[in-house]
Amino acid sequence: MWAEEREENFEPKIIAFICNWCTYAAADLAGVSRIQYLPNVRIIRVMCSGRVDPSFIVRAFLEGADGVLVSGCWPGDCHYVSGNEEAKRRMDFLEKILPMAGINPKRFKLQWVSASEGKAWAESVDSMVEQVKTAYIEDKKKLEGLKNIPAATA
Amino acid sequence: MDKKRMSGSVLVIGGGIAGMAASLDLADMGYKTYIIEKTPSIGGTMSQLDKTFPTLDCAMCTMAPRMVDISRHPNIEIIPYSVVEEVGGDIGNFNVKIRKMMSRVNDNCIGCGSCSEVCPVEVPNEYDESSGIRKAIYSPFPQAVPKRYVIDTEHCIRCYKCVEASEGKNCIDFSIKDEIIDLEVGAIIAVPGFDLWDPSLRPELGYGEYPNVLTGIEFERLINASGFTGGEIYRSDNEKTPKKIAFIQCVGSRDVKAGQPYCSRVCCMYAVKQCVLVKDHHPEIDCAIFYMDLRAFGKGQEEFYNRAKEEYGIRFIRGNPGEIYQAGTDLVVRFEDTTASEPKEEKFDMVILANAIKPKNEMLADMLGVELDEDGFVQEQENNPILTSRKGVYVAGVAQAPRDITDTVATASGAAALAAADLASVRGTQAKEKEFPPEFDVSGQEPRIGVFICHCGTNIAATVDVEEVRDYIKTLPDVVFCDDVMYACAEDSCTRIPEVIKEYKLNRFIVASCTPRTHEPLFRETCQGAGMNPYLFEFANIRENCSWVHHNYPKEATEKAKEIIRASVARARLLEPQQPGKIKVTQRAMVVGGGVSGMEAAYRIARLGFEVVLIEREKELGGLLRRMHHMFPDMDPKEILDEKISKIEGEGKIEVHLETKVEGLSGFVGNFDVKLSDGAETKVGAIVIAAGCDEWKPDIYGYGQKDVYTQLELQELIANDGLKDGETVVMIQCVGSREKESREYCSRVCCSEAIKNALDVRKNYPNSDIYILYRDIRTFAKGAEEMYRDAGLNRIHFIRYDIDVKRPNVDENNVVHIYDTLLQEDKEIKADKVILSSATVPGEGFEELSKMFTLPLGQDGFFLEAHLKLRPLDFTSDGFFLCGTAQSPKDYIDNMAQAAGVSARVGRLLAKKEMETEAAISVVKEELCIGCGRCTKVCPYGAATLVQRGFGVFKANVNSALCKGCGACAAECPTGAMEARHFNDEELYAVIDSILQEV
Amino acid sequence: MSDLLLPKEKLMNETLNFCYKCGECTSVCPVSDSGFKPHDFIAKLSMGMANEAYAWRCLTCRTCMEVCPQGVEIPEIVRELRGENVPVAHKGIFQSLYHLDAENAPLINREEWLKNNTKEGKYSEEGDTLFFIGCLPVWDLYFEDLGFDGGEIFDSALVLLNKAGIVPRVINDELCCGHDARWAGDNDTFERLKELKEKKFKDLGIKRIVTVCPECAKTLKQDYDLDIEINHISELLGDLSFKKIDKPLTYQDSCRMGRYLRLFDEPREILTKIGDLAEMERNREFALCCGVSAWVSCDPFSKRIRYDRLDEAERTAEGGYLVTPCQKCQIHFKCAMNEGVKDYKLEVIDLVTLARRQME
Repeated sequence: MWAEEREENFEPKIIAFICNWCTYAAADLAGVSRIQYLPNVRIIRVMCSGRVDPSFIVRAFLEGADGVLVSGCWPGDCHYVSGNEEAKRRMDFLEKILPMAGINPKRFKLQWVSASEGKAWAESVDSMVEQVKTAYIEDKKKLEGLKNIPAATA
Repeated sequence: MDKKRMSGSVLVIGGGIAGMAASLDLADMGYKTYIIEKTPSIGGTMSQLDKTFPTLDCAMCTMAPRMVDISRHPNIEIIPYSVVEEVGGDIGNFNVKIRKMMSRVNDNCIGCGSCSEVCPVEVPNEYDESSGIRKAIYSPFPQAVPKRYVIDTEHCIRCYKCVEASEGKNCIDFSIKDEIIDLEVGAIIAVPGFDLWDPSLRPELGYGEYPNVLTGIEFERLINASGFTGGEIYRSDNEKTPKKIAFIQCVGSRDVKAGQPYCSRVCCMYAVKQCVLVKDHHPEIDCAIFYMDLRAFGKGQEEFYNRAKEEYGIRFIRGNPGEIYQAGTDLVVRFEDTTASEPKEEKFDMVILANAIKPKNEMLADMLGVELDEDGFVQEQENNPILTSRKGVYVAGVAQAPRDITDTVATASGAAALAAADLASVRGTQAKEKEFPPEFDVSGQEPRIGVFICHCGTNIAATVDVEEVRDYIKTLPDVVFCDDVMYACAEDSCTRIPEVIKEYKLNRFIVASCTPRTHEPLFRETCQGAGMNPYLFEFANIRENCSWVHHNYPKEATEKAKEIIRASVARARLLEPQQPGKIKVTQRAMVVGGGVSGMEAAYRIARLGFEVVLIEREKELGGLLRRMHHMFPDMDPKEILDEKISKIEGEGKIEVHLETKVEGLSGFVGNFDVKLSDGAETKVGAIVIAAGCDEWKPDIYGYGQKDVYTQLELQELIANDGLKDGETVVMIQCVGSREKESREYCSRVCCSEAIKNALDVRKNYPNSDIYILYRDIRTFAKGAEEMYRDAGLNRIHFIRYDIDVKRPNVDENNVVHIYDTLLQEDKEIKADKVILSSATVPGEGFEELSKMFTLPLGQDGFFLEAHLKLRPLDFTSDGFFLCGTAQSPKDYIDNMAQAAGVSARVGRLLAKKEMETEAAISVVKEELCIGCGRCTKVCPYGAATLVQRGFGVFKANVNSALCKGCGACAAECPTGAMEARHFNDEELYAVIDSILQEV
Repeated sequence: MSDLLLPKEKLMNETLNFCYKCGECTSVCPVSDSGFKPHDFIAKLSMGMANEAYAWRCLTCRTCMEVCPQGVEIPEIVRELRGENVPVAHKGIFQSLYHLDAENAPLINREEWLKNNTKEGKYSEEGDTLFFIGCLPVWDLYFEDLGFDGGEIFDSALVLLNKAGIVPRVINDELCCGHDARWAGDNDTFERLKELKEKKFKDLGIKRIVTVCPECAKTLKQDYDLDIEINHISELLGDLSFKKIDKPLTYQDSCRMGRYLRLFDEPREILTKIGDLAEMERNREFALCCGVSAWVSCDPFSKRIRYDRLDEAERTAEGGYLVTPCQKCQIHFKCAMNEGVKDYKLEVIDLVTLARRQME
């Protein structure tokens, strides 16, 4: 289990599925502008956030990702017209399902970042790292709490 | 004209959005295009914008892909940092001398930026309107194309630090001088853009004197997320966020005294846009716009204006301030709220001036001999905003008159079409096709992967330990070759790649360096040059996504780089060669609608050399034009109609079908099968919707009573001398338009139409009493504002009403009751004639066409274009185009621009006998497909459909001509039958697993 | 309680060899047209020659065992042969979710779904009668666009149980029962889930479990080592009264409900109180499987079976309801109907949903 395998003060590893036309451009812009951010994210480039299958995200968590980020174009701006709407629809129900598989919802995020928002990209990575660390502390606390109630542990 | 010597190339002067649109259309049609640009990069004013109205698209997001397209197009050559020196010759053979200014940076520059980092000289940055800084050696903005640095010799102090920093690249050469190059081109498109009026010429507004008075463009840079403040709005004197911002319109425009009697057309909308953007970030900032007439006339603009008022709480004050002065730290704006007849003073933190657009056409006049009008804009010829007085020289964009991006792009495509038509006989003669050796077959082979890891000088190597990464990657299975290089994209490395592929018998290649968004095409082509399919090349971004953003974490960055490349290796193992598809194109177009726009479009397409089928459902051509007698600004519709019809008949390639509709349509882009209602059947490659609008039959303001007419009916009356001298004529504007409940949009043409008709009444019936009751006077077009002024001189009375205060009323005796908001009093006018400026509404055929062709209508009932700003003449469905009032209401000049523009869009499609389709598309593995149809529901292009394979058996099918490779279908497919090639599930799982594997 | 839980060795060495290739299984097998003939498969398997890929072609519907004179346990044998790489629909996302379930058991949190979907029913956080809901919340969220309302099933079940005098316990951190994992070849996940739950039920002092899902009921009853009474909800509603509905009804004996649990009569007792129940041609022991089991074998052949069954249901109860006790059947039927290939004049509804609507 995630919370048991990680040590205190570990560095979360975050997988980010980002779309080529908006968020990837923003990430490039952050690079060109030398905006610094935490090295925890691993970018997987897709052409459109609509390509992101919910099974990718579940797979990532299964393989040990601490956090997963999906980032695409703002509503109305999708390079392929409506891909980001499909992404939103899928991620909305996935977000509700993940806690039922024991994944703290703070470990997952769907966001929109446009190509000119280099700073916003960098900040979103930093804030995701914080968020995942918070999730870890929450889960750890919950496990500790459960250890103290004999009948409730599984 | 000696046809043998006609040059199949075109010079585009100016690299802004107009130049970019024109050159892409020309290049796609097969003409060699030179773009000459004064600054180091293309992009122009649009690249400085944060977001564009009314859709609030991010300007750079929509532009940047085009800029990259231009940089790699085999038919486009960008000549940056250069000016035109001399132009001689004639249409078909212009001899142009170009001066390349001494940038002192040669072709070895790869845009790494190490030079700029060490340069000690700081200069105000023109791109940020002199608010931010740049260095003496610089590239104007991060997404610059070409990405080449230049030295500003005026400010360079020759310390040579840049030469040191660019060790070994030999890219900076102080011996470079200005160079004159000679070009021979067949046509010239002048798109120099515009200047802005200096508002310090109205000293009472405080520009230049007070620190927080800015122009619109300066404010745009301030709120831009990639501007010099990172999008933070603060006062320049105390760095605090302002609490109140005032926006002042018409600064210098509509101002005879200031020298600009015309309207600058875009300022009302950009001011509203800027307020909305401010409110989005800082809802607490109070924004107030001071205006005379709020000109939100274009598609989507009135709706945007209403949202700004209602949802964002932006204040609109009718009354232009006379003075701004500083009181303490505040700016005080002195104005009269004309709707309350109250003089007021209000304190603000910042004031934004919408300063007038000025032409920048000296070069055009001097060097090209192009005739300018009295305001300095290019004088249009034959009522066509694209023609100039010099044959073979065309103009587009703001050089001819102020206009927004949508209209600029239409004129730019129009200019491309006209230039292409001149050179139709030499199309393709200077076009380049890239040639590559035959591809070697990799099927059945074990992957043999080669990797280059780039230092990029110190850009990567300063943070990431490249040697350590290289040694690690070498150990990965299937990596047969791995080496580090100083600059992977430099000539020498690019020559080495094919050598290494051959020597080590590689069948996959990875470059780990910068970003695929700019460099993937380069490396793909390098691999193609070695016989490797370009889709067997994989890119790992360890610079923009790693070394540049993790300076303080060198150890982590090195580990991250290892993982990134390891994931690329995992993907590379699974990559398969992909081939673009080829489909035949029927080089014929169909234009639906024989009104003035349809006729012009058909004519222009035929001039490009293609056959056209023009269909019209009425008995004769002409559409709404037949009901007109005098067109704004001063044209005779009969003459125009005759001219257009004779042009159609004279151009042999156009087949006209009258009283005909489309009965059946099948096929897809390049290959449509059309059945017409007169029995004819034909095949076409492109379809243009040029169906026209109607005039609404009002159900308000007494229409139906005697002596109440619409404006079109008034034209008829005047032509038949149906009025009497001395009558009282009352015109009511916005009848049926700008009504939130029923028809929210502005019909755009009625203000100019009404004033023109009023002047006609005055001319023919000199003793008439003429009133125009209006909400805003939207005379934005060239010559319209002057006509409005003329109307005042001709004693036409303008009374302003507001439907939120009191709606005018026409009683059964044609007495018009109105509340004058500027004089704050009720008035009664006994009218002899009441003229209603009735709304322009979608044609009654629109719905039927929309269903027949499966083309979308917008909420306003007009056809919905692919992208309001950058693709106003295309539909999202490939092969379909639109122009004229099918897209939205507009006047004759704008319609002509669109009709010419759409012919370029069609020309691009029909220019080749075969078109290539996207290679990385989705394909269906039929044996797994259960025909559920989920894919068809998410495809925005109609590329995924269900086909019947047997009784009750359906399978999904992807039309390779329409698929754009977004992959939404693959993510929807429950059985995995839909494969998104080059981004398929196996590859993505392999990448995920590889990143997360424990080393 | 686990008379079908035969160890692998016994299945492969003894049970397999009981077969004397009479062919009765193949004559009733719904997929025998696809190339998977049960008797042929078993025969080849006993000689070490079977194409093990066919192990995923079988629907595990158990129709064969209704007729097999020797008790060859074909579905169990097929299950044992399923290892990795069994083709599963929806890109294996559900399998991954069960796996995560097993790994993250203590962190599972269904609070929000339980809160949002408890409208008129009541449940308790204590007690020894557990209402086991399994993966119902996941189906409810994932298949909303098909018109599947798992929330209504949940609340309806609570209301019905309340009326029958039971305020069941519902737990927040409930795990999947492991049925789909087991039948898709992921025995490791199944064993882990089994272990976790057996301990949990013991720690919580559960004495009785009621479910709405026949697959959960079968798994908990027959594949777990529990000393607890396991009921499908239809077994507990015999005393309730219902209003009559003026629409034709027909009933799908889901495979796990009918042929595995042998619960043929209990649902019918309820339905005959609700309306005129017409039987499809193939019913009870010979009811036709909906065509998918454990998300395995979603392919064109399976789709044909579904359309076949829907046609049959429509013939029997046009304008009315096809009632099923199994949420999976409902999802699979609705998926087929959603494709719009045919406009079925029939509504597929869960037994519990209909019962609640007609409850007096």
